[in-house]
Amino acid sequence: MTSQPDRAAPARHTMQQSPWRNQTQLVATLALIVVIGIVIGTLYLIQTSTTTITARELDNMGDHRARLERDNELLRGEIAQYQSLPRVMTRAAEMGFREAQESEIQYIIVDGYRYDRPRVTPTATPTPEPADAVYDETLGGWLEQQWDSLKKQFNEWQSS
Amino acid sequence: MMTHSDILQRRLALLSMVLVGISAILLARLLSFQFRMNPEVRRALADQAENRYEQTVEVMPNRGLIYDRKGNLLATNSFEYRIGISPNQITDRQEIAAQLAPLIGKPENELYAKLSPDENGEFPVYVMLAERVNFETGQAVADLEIDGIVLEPIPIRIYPQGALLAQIVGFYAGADSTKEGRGYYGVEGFYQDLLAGQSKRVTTSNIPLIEEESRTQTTRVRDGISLVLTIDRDVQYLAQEVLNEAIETYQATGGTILIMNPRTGEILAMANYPNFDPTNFTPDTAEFARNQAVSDIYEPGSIFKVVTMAMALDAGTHDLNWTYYDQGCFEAGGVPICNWDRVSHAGGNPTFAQVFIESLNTGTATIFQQMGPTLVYPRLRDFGMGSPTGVDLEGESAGILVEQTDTNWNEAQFLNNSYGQGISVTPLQMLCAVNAIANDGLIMQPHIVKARIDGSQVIETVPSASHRPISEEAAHTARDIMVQIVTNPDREDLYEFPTFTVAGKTGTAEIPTPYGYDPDASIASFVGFIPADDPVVSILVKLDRPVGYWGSKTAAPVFQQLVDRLVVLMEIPPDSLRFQLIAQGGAPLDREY
Repeated sequence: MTSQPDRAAPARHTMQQSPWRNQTQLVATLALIVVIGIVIGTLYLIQTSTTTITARELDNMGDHRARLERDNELLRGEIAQYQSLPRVMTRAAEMGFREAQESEIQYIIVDGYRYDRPRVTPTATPTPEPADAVYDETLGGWLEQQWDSLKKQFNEWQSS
Repeated sequence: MMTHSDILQRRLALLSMVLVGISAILLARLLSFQFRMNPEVRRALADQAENRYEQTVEVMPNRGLIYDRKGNLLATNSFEYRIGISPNQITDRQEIAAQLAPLIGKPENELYAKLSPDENGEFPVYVMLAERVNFETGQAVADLEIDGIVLEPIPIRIYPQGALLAQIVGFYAGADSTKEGRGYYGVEGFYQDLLAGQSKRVTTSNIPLIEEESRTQTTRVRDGISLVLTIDRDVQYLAQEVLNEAIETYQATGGTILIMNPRTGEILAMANYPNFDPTNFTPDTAEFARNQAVSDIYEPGSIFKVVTMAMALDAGTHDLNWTYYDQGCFEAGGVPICNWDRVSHAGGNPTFAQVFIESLNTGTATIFQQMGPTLVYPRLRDFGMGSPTGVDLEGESAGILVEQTDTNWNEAQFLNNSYGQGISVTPLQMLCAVNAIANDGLIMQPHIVKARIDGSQVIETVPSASHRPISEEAAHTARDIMVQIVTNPDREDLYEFPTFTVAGKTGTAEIPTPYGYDPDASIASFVGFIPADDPVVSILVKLDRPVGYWGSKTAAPVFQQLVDRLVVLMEIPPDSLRFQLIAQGGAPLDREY
């Protein structure tokens, strides 16, 4: 019988010569995991805080819009009250205007002129429809946004 | 003999078994709790969780606006606010009480007490500070940005024209921050569902990362549909002003002026006295909220003779050559039927036209007598008597038409119907009947809404025919007699129309009471249309219990006063001018009116 050469011997020999290599690999792996974890965590936190801020801003804008709409309603009512006929007639009388009498009106016939009454059709003042949301974000764009957001936060922190 | 170590080993094993057993029981209980929970408990817990993380709010739509035909705003929306606060969210109670007191109009110490903890030292979750404050106050409070303040908007309605169109538009009431109000009377009541729109329940997460989520079928809040009325605010103002002056001049207790376009059935003005101011509505004024022109019935008197005339002509039982023997009075059904002056007219043989020109009760009663109930009642029905017109206003009455099949019918009442007594109509029913004569025999469906505006879509009301009670020929003959009534040189009535051809008829109706007709009071009226040959407007003037008694002395002059101003306002040229314009190929009356 011939004995087989020990193939693991050189590696074992190396490990015996530098036993810290094992530990270094372990530490490096753990460090990598931690770094990746930190990066993911940071990105998550940034995303979360951005979303929260955006949601808050949207809330505020919604409130602002509701308030503007109510202001508009109030103004519409006020304008209509200023234009109400009893008020206009009173004001006109104060300014010296009066109704024309039938006998004071002169009609003039223009030869060849065809007189047709204009017709008035009610018109709508359409309420603007909310625009549909457009989702055209790319990964590059998203990363750019995150970077800009980070820079902005850093600048704010620096300036404060 | 067991060593100390053996004993320890055994005890540890025992303890391990006990702990494992307890753990197994806890695990089993946990699994049971997770997967085999009582459904009611599960639902209650789920609700609690939902309440903690979500809130459901009802997003209210904006109520539709109301315009007149020229786009003047008649009803719009605004808000009041209910103000509350969560005292447990505030720190400086004194400061907040001091800030809020002048705005809300309550003493500072009263507010401070509301913000303070109770006798147990606990803060209430919510206290009401003001039930209703106006829009400006609410906004001022919001601007303070106080933590814990809760502003609940309450929709209200504003009527910029005040009392002018109150009975036509109606009013909106009953809203608070949690309950939607509704419209009452007039257009607000009739079109409640259209004006109200559709609300939407929206469930919103309290966690800002989660999008709002709708739990309803609708995709968005649907605002109410806005309405454009056929009413012309300027014409309405004129009608109301003329009516108010007439009420004062003739010391009448009430009255109505109704103006319509007989060609389309559009109602241009509907003025009543008394009326009410929707901005100052109280339970005392509630009885005036109803629109008397469509809800109150009365015996129309002699203006109804034009209906008798048209029916007889259309039935073919009578024509212009017909005559009868007039004694001034005759007895029928045990009741005397007399002319207004109780004397014989036209030498005792008035013609068909003279019956109406001189307003002879004996003549119309004779016509009815000759026609008979079986011919008359279906035709009265065709004229819309005894049925609501179907106008789009809340609270319309049907009127009263007693027919032969009714138990309280008698011949005298039937003959009385020929001159407008013993039959009850609304002013709108009466004018619609006259519109048949004005509009070549066709009654157009009376309506008050000209168009509906739904977002960017305008849906116009297309005029539609309601009935054809008489032929075109009968209508034209009746119209010519109505012109003769107005132009009759022998009449002593107080009106004159030198530049226009007017078709009309006066009426003086007795007022029924539980003890018979009131001998001292009347309902005076005038009904007519201009220009007679191509009517632009038909008008009914009605005065209740005027001093002056006769329609020809009270309502007719009011009609003239109204027409004199109306032709200027509506730019209706005098007949001579109109015919010249038509000769040039124009269409001066081809209009919306």
